[in-house]
Amino acid sequence: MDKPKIAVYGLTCCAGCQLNILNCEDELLELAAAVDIKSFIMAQTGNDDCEVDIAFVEGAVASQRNLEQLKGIRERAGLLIALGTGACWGCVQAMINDVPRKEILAEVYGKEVLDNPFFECFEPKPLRDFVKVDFEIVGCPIERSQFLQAVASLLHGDLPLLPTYAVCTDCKFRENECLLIERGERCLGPVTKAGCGARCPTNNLPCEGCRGPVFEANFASEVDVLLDKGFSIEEIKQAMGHFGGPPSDEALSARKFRGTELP
Amino acid sequence: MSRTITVEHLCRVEGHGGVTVELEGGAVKSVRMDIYEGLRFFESFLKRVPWADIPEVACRICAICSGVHNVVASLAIEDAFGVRVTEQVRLLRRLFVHGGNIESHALHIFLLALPDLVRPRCNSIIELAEDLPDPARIGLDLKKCGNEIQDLISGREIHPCNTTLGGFGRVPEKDVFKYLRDRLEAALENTRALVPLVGGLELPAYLTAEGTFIGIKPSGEAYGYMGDRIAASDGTVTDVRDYRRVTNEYTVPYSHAKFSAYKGKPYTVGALARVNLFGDLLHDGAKTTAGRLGFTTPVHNIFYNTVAQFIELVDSIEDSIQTIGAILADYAPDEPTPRIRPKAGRGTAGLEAPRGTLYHSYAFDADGRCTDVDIVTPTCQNLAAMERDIRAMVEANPAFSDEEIHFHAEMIVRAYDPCISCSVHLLNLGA
Repeated sequence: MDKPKIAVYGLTCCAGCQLNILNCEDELLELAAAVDIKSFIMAQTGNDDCEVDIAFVEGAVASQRNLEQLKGIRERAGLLIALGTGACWGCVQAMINDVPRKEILAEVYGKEVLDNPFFECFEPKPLRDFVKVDFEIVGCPIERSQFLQAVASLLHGDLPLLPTYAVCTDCKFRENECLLIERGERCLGPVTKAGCGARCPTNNLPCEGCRGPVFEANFASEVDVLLDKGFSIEEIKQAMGHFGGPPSDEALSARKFRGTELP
Repeated sequence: MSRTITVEHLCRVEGHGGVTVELEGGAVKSVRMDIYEGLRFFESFLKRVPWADIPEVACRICAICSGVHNVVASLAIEDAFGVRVTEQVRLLRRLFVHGGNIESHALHIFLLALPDLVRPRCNSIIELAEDLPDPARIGLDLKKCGNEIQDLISGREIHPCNTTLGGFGRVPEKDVFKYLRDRLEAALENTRALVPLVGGLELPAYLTAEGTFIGIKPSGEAYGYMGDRIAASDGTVTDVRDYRRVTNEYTVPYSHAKFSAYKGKPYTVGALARVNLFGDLLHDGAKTTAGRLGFTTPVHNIFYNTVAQFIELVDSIEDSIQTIGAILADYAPDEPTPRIRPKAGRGTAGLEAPRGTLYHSYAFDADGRCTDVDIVTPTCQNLAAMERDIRAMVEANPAFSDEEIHFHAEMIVRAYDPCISCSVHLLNLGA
């Protein structure tokens, strides 16, 4: 039987998820032997944009150029796997998605580039907003172990099983003191998808939410607790928007928090 | 007759970019580094981020350089708020920066550059491992060693999660340092086996022009990556706070990244620049390695950047071992991090990233709101030199076919070890 054909692509991001594939130093050669890598621009020359069984795509979609590339990948790929918080949620560059691009372009590059097609761009968005995504591996960056586990499952014809619960669960397993309740820190563990082993809280630092929201995240309750601990609604909204774009007022106002009106 | 050679997508480099070379009747009409990496506007959204969170967001500019972005952002904000860190924090950061340097240099040497330079040429580390299994294995192990330092000190290989303004969330346990010391000593031994391979590389010799090298002068007596003065190979020294006098950024219509010029001309930053400027400060093992490699400074041919990285890799391992010794000698696991109060003003810091000098500068108002961000990355500073060298390559080799120009242009760019994500984090035409 032929080896499964795979490809790794990067859209708009820091390239950290691709780098974390290359960071599988102990497994890289074995992994490469199990598959036929048709395209991995960051890691090899002689790439071929042909049909593949699995395409891994990191980064957000932030321009027509990105979008056309993504559509092409989707057409050529049996399975399309989104890698990382950029591909799944937009990541840090999405935190200003509430500001029109023209405004930012003019601020950053000057008004003269507004008509230059080379500077065409739009709000960074996750892959699933544009194409069917077969599986998402979150993380900023993805965890190497989860990538390897996912590849192993995929090569056996299964979709991977990764955590669907919140960072708090990981944190309890580590027997950490609760930074949110006990110390009153701005910890986003309760609304963030687990799988990192609660890296930040284990280092005495609050979860920054880099893995994006957990399924059915209870933002309103998190807001309630943080307001109780003395954070302002502006601070809370800002922190919650660092990795997945500004949280919607709808998500935040599912409950009425102590008469505080959203700004 | 006119010819246009286009490298659509540079491979085995970080990020998205290409090269266009136009020839008119045998003469080079233009060389362009086409940088089309997606726009992310870091300087715009970093202003929204609370000051305490800036380092952990700024590191997302680039994965390979996430450690140095994180450290230099902290240094700049600490400069703005007048924060003094302890000696232990200084040493931990030094070790962390070495971890990133070891990882990044091993990545570039073995995964990105070597496949072009070995005979027969190959496409990747995977093919390299078939022809040269031992160097590939050692190279991957050196890369892993750098990653272990980053992971154990900063909490993660990419995007640190144990670092904070003023210090670290948790000082790693003593056993961690002892483990790393043993690991580094074994890695140092392994580097010796690679000297014949690195010394025997057939590097193109057509780049002969003398250029300017710039780097941050190490603050101590030993070779290193941190300091507050910028040295240029013409002998001038500039305070880091005046970095704009050195970088002089300008924009071009075909690139999402800025270009730099020093005294109106391209200049080079990175491992080759540093070894040329500060080679006399290298640790003993690195000096011996340079001698065995026949590397005598100054070297102007950028293809030797890969050799300079190998020398630095040895130096970083030696200095890491010494730094661990210093940490263990005055180990203080429960040392508190300083209390930080924001104040109005600007803070600036520079640091030698693996691929060259990196500057971060932030201005704050009295409430600690960030009002201005300026970040100058190494790759932006090297773009003009890349164009210069590609032009020189074409001019020195009039018989080159389109395919040969394509191949050599890509190889020149790769020699600079560019990081295109970094280069496109911002572009401030208004500044």
